[in-house]
Amino acid sequence: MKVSLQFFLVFLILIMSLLPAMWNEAVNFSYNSSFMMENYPEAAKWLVLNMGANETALVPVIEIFEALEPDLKGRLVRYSDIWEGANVVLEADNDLEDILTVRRYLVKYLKQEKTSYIVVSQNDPYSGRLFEREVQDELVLFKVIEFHSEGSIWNERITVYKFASVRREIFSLALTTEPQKYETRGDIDVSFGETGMAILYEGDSGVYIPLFLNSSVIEKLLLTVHVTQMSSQVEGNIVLYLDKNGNGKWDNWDVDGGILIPLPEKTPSFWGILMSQEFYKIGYDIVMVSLVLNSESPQTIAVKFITFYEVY
Amino acid sequence: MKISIISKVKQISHHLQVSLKVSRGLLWILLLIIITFLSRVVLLLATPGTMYYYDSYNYFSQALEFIRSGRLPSIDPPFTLLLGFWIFLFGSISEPLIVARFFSITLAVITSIFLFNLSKKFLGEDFALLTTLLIMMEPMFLSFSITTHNDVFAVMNAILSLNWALSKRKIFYFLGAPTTFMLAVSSKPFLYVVLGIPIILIYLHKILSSHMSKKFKLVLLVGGLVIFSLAPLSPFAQEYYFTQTRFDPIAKAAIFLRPKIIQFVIDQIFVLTSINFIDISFQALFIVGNLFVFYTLLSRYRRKSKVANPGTPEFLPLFMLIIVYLSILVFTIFAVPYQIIQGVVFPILDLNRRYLMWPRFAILWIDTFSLWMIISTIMKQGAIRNEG
Repeated sequence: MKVSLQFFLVFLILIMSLLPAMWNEAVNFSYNSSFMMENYPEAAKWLVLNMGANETALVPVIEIFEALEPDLKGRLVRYSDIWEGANVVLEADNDLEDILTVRRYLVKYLKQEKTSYIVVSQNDPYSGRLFEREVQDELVLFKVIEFHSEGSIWNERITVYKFASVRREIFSLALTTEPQKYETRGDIDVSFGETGMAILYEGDSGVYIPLFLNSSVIEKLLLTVHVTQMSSQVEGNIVLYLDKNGNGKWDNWDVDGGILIPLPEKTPSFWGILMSQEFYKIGYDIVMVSLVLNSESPQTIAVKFITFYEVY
Repeated sequence: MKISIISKVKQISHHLQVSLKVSRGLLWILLLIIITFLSRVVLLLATPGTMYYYDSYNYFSQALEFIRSGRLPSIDPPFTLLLGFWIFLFGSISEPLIVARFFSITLAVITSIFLFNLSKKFLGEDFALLTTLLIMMEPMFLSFSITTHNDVFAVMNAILSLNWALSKRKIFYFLGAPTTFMLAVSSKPFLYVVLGIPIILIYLHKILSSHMSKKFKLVLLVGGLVIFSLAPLSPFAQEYYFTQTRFDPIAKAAIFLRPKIIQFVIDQIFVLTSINFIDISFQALFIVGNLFVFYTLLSRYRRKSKVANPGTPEFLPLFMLIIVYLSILVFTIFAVPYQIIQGVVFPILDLNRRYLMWPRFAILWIDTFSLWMIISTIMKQGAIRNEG
């Protein structure tokens, strides 16, 4: 069908007027979708540089790591193998028992195979599901490095952990019930319940819980903090107060000092284990732990457990 | 002034055709190739980051594995093998990942050529240029043609199978079309339903109107229909289906075919851009297009005093409508994710946007057809008034 040039041009102009909006949508989609994968190249490069020749790593979507860094070939383990080994199928309605079964199998596997690094992505269902709920079991990990990028629609986080081969749990502060002694500072409201110690605060404030932890003799100490709720702008530190002068109590920063562990940036609410941290040989006893917080607007945070382990 | 611009454009177009010694059709194809290729290269340069989702890397990784160790790919073997050959041939030019992404760009360029050829059969070269131009800029198709994903491969095969099924040459419609249909289905199994009905209609007509003995026709018809209807029962199809969902197809349809979910899928299909006015325009043109499709078929039927046959391009708009409505049906049943809480299935109103390129292809084709009919009617009326 032949058409007049006039007709053709009118039509072409109409079509052309639609194209910019479609182009813009394609650019936005491409940017956002590729953003989701942005941390993978960095994580893959980190593994290549840091993994020893005989070491292996458990990674989400093995193909991505192998495609990005072919040198990793043969040195990676896939999460789906762990699920298969535990005889659990990843489904929309996996319950807590399923997750615990896979975690138990993973602990057994990690102990046997000596896998060096456990790489977790919150967007990968196989690895994300294992860590999305708050679980207290033998699977204790400590964070080595985190790759995090925040885009317009995605909040992607890939965390590299090491399996903490726990010798024993030294001390666990369960904050579901009120501790015998604690003090608060500033404009703060503290309550204890199912979610742990729920704190509503504004301005410069803190909660101080005295304890005694005979950590001076421990070679390798691991601290894990389980946060169950956290609003978007929580900023602050977990502080461990030391007893450098050996009088059994904390005096002041000049005499005894302490260790400041910054709270992590905001994480999605489904991300269970919020924080794990490793310490090597502190050399002093710990006599108090506190949450020191600061915000110009009212914020909330809930901490359920603070646990100290001695690790190999 | 207006006339002089138009005559100038006419002169340039004529001059180009003469100096390049090419027909108008070939000139439009060249233009489409350049636009399709450049748009993708520019998008690749504008968003050079990583590829999308996990699947892209999966195809790439398996293609590399095939080249290095000869291990056959487990996911979409035709696509992954071709990708492997492509990387093997051109891998020395640049990084394998970049070379692989250009494979998808090439598939998009091939798609544009065959889509032009298919549309040309219905309303001529000018219509084909415009509709292909619009479809090539569909955001999801544009985005996925710069990553190593099998969607673009499936689109290309789907267009090729329709194109060759409507061809007059036996080698194309008896060999080319079934092969490309199978390739499209092996990449995207839902195309068995979405593309199957147009293909069956075309073949029914082709066989019935061919000069073969009645017995042979009967064997072909019965044999073809038996193979087609038994295909979903094959172990391969069964295995694939049950890796996707635990529900049998009837139970899945019963759970998901609800007005709210259907409405959600339709809404998603028509959100092509972030500009509401443009999306509403696409929707309005599609509704008008539905009327034009039936009006055109009916008027041709009345003119020829016989039923227009499905084996000719006259039926193309109807096929496009079938593709749209079947896509809505299939996506409503199978593409909407769900959660199961205490044994109760809760559909999550979310849809992988990648799927949307399928119905949108057909929608944009119908939209261009609709716009074409509206403008030509207005211009005809204007010409009659001027003569009057």
